[in-house]
Order: sequence, then structure tokens, then C-alpha cells
Amino acid sequence: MKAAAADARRQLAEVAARQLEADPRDIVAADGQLFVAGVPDRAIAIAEAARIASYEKSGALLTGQGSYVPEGIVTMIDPETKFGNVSVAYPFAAQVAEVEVDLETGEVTVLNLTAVHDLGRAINPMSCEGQIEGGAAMGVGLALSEEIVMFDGQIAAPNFHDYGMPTAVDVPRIVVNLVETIDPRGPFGAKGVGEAGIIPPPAAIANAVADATGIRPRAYPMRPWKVKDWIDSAERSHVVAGKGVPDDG
Amino acid sequence: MVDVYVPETLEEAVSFLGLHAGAAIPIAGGTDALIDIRTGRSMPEWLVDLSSVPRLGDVELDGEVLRLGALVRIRAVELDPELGRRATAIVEAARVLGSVQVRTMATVGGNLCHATPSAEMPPSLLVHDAVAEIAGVGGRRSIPLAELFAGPGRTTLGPDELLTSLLARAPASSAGSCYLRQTVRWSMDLAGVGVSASVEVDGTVVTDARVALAAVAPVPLLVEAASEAIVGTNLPPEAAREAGRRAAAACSPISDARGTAGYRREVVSVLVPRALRIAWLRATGAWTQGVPAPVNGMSTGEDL
Amino acid sequence: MRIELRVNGDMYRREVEPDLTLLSFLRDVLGLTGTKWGCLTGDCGACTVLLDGEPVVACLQLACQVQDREVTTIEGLGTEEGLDEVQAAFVSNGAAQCGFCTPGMIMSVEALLGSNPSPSEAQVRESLSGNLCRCTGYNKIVDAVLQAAQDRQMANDGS
Repeated sequence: MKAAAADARRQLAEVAARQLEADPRDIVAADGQLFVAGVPDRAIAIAEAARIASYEKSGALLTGQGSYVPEGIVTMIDPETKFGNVSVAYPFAAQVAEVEVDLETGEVTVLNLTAVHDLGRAINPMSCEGQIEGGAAMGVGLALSEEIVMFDGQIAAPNFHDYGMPTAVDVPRIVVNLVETIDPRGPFGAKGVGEAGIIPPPAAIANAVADATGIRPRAYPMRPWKVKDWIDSAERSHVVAGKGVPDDG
Repeated sequence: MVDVYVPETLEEAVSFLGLHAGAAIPIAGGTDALIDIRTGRSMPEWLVDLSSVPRLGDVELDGEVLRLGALVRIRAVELDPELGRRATAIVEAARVLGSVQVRTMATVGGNLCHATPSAEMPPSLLVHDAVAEIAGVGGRRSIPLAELFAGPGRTTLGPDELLTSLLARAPASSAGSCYLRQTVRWSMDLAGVGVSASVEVDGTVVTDARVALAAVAPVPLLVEAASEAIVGTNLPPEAAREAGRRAAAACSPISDARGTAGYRREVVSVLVPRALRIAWLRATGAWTQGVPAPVNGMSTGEDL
Repeated sequence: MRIELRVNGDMYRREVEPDLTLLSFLRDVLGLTGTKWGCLTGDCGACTVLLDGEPVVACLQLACQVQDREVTTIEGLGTEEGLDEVQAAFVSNGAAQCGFCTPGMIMSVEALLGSNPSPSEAQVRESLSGNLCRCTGYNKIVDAVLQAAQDRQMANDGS
């Protein structure tokens, strides 16, 4: 994406250079303007340059293209084994969930969620937090409530209320910590942040449920009747709450 | 294509419904009626818009008797402080129904007459001894609310009849009530199990009680055997649990997207003692007035 | 049917089909597309508008039942140059990501702040629980509402 943006910028600079009778290499951009380096008066608005570029291409959009194949990598995934290196800059994350479990009804409340994410460089920190919070909220849904229930091959409840997407009262306050490790292989040192937030909450919440109850959740979403069933089964097999969590999580 | 008729009086409304029996349905807030039409569950030719019929939206409190017009908005019930004190279960049911938007539109009568087994308002009105006032072409009649429900989505109303109001008991003192429910989400959900309880006391001794259930039978259930287990007691935990067991034995839940039958029965036996306990605390004055119960009765700061 | 109603302060008289929803009336008849077409079952809140100051879902409201009433949509709040406090707080807190839930969300907030000028976080969450958001996880929305409440109170105290 960085390479594509650079390609688009190069094309805009060429348009600006022709308009301003300058060398494209001397064109710099700031405050929505393209101008000749050192001569801010010789300027053209980026929007105007884009319009001209589009006219010159019979109305087609100005598009930049770019690709990036990391050094030493020929194909990212081995076609035979399907194993491989799918990213050049892996994000890492740790999330901590605190839950309350109603042992009699199996209802689980997420009280607190802390998300610590190594994302390389936070180019727009507020957006990064938003991505992580949104992902974590989806993860809360995956953990506890979201499910398309099928009966005899039919979707039993094709609607929003039975699907169980978390509302503003189901998602706790999420504390986000951005860990900026500035990855040399990522654009401007950045790594991905869009998906990473979704992945940890189900595991964190399931581990918190295990810690609270002594049972080891075996399926998502942990809807109340499943949790209740696990608790009842554990009681039947004399596992004492708070002790003896099977250590495989 | 549905047409809309807007009667100006109750007489006009019921005679139109009688004339177009089977082809006309009344519409109040529309939050159920329009979804039913859109999903093909109902295909009326006429909607009878009741919003211009006078007095259907009135709330009156006369001594112990509360009269709720069928067109009273759920949101109005939720926000009424006097009802909060004297008909707490009814207000707690209103508070968790749908969203603010849905509560602003939906009506008490609509919630009852749609006859959804999981509907919020019926059990709370049942434990407040509600009587349904009904108007038809042939005149008016009153029935205990429990007799309004015929099955999922079906009432005992004739094609020309309308529910006009509810009369409920709302004692000012020595009484308390509570509505609890189990859900998958904490808001915007339908009850997997709904439980209402009311208790009247002399000192700390229970003199009268009611337990009613939603979502665990084809119709909302008033379980007399459950309340009998606690009358004459100080509501010791064992009596409350016995009431829960009796309520669980009385229901006939199904398994669906909102829970399994066995689970629902178990939750009834859990929520009934909690609801009775909170109602009893309210009746004896031990519960801080104005503090709502947690929606499933958990975390009340004491061992229930 | 002939209906007469006020939308964002302007009077409209229109001939409508009796089963037309307020949502279709706003979007297709008046061209006010800020009110979003979402689930059509009252579950998502994307079509929330104010009816005489109270929040309703326009998908479950018949236009003919809005006779003589006042409707406020997102277009009736601020302008692009002059956002109102809630809109401005949504921008500055990053409370909008894809933006589809935002108009309905903001109308729910306007209703809340209209009746409760300084809500608690719990009250904010409760009031917004009828508006689903798949992007934000609600945190920044809640922050925006709490800030908007403060901003509006300060503006009112100053005037």
C-alpha cells in the first residue's frame, strides 16, 4: 500500500511538474498543495492535479500500484504443505479478561478487558485503539453470544436479536496499550492491527471462566446453557470449584 | 398492500374489526405488527390504527388499583416513579424490554396481545393480579389476565374484540415485587426464562405471594403451588427453594435458539427463589427503594 | 393517505401509501438518506430518529401515524461547518469508524442528553444498547457521549 501510494504520488508530481514547468523530482507536497521545492508560490492543489490527471486519462481514475515481496521469500505459502510465512511483520498481542460467572444460571459477564498490542508503529494511534477495541468487542461476541443456530439444516433464527451481537452493555471498558516496536520490514515500521484484536478475547474469556469456575470450556460461544451444563457435569464428577482446572489451555 | 383505518372511537374500532374479521388487525406501537407483516407471519388487508381512540393511553392509580390503558407506552411505565414503588415487577419488566426506541413505541396491550411466550409484561402483570378489560361489538367484559392467552401468538379475544385496559393491584406498603430474566445478552434480548414474584407481608411473615413465569410454556404461567410453599413463613432459603422446585415442575419448556428445555427448567428453579427473596426484601422495607434488581438477580450483595 | 408533518423544522404535506414506513418516507420521498436502512426489525437502531424528541426506529413506524408530529433526523442537527456538540465529540474521539451506525447512534444520544444532561457511563451504555456497532466496540462512542455532555453543559453555563 505504501508502494502504491508512492506510485500515485509520482504520477501526481508529473502532472504538477508539467503545470508548473518544473522537474518532477523537485515537486514537494504539503498542506494539500504540490509546489516546487523552495518556491511555495509555484503551487497547484493536489485535488486540481488529480482532476487534470483524470482528464488526461479520459476520465479514468488516477491509480497507483505497488507490490512488496519480502527479501528471500519466493512464495509465501508452500503449495504442497500449505505451510509458510504469510506475513513479513507479525503483530503480537496479549489480552486479559476478568469475568463474573453466575454458577446457577451459567451467565457470564465480562467485567474488564485489557488489550496489549505490538503493532510496530501506530501511524494513527486513535484509529489503532479503535481497531483493537472493535476487534476485542467482536471477540467478546464470539466468546459468549454470537451464533447462527441451525435446526435440520435451516437457520433457526435469521435475525439480529437471536444472533447475539454484543450491545453497548455487553462490552466492558477495554483498556488498550499500544506497544510500538517499529518493525523494519513494515511500512513506516508498522504492522497489522485490524484483525489482531479479535483473536485473543475468546481464549482470555474462556480461561477466565475456567479460573472462576474450575471447569474447562470446550466450545464457543459460551452461551449460558453450555456453561451451566459444564458446571453441572463437573459437579457430578466431583471437581471442586476453583481447584483442579485441567491444565491444557 | 395493507390499508390503514383510523377509528375515532372504541365503538368504531370494534365494529370495523367485526366487519372485517380475519382481514383486519389492530396496530398500536407497530413494533410486532410490522415485523409480522414483513416476515409473512400475518397478512392482513387492514391495519386498525388505535392511536386516535380516546383514553386508551391513560395511567390511573385509584387507591390500590392501577389501571393501565392498553396503549400506554412501555417507556412511560418504565419511567413512572410511583409505579416503580408500587408495581416494581411491572416497571422492571418494562425496563428490560427491547431498546429505548422499541420501548418508546411499543405498548402494554401490544406486548400482551401479541402473546409471545417470552413476552416481558405478562408475568409481572400476573403477579399484580391483573384483570384484562375487553371491549367488543356485544359490549364489555373482564377476565383474569391469565385467561387472555390461548397459545403462542394466540389470545382468547374474539375477532371484534380489543383489550382496552388492565386493572392491577399495586399496594402502597407491606408488599413488594420483582421481575428477573435469563438472557444471552444483557440488553436487546428476549427472555430465555422470565420470572416475576410478588410478596405481601405482615412484619416479616409472608401473608400472600404470587409467582409467574415466561418463556417456559406455550402461555405465561401463574404457579399457585409455588407461592403456597412460602405463605406463612419468613421466607427461609429452603422454602424459597421449594417454591422454585414447584415452579420448575409446573412449566413445560421447549428447546430452541434461546436455550434447552432442561436448562430452562433449572433456571426457573434458580430465578424463582431470587425473585421471591428480592420481592420479600422490598415488602419488608429492607431493600433500598428505587434500586432496581440486577436483571438476573445475581450480585445483590447478599447470599440469596 | 394525505399526511402533514414537520421534519427538521420544515412542514411537509405529502400523499403517501398507507403502509409506507417513516424510514421510506424520509429516505425515498424527502431524500434524507442520513437515516440508515438497516435490519428492518428494530434490532440495529441504524434508522433511529426523534419523534417529538423521543427516539424511535423509523423502520417500524408507519408514516401515516406521524400525522402532525415533529421528526428530527441527523440532517436536522449540525451542519458540515458547524457540528453540534455530539457530532463534534464523535469526530474528536474517533467514535465513528465505518459510519453506518453513527446517525442512529447520535440520535439516541440526543434523546438521552435531552432528558439527562449529565448521564453516568452505565446510563450511556444502557441508552445506546438499541444501536448496534460492529466497528468500535462502543468505548470511543461512550467517551464521545460523556464529553459531549460536558461540552454542552459548559456551553449552556457560559450562555
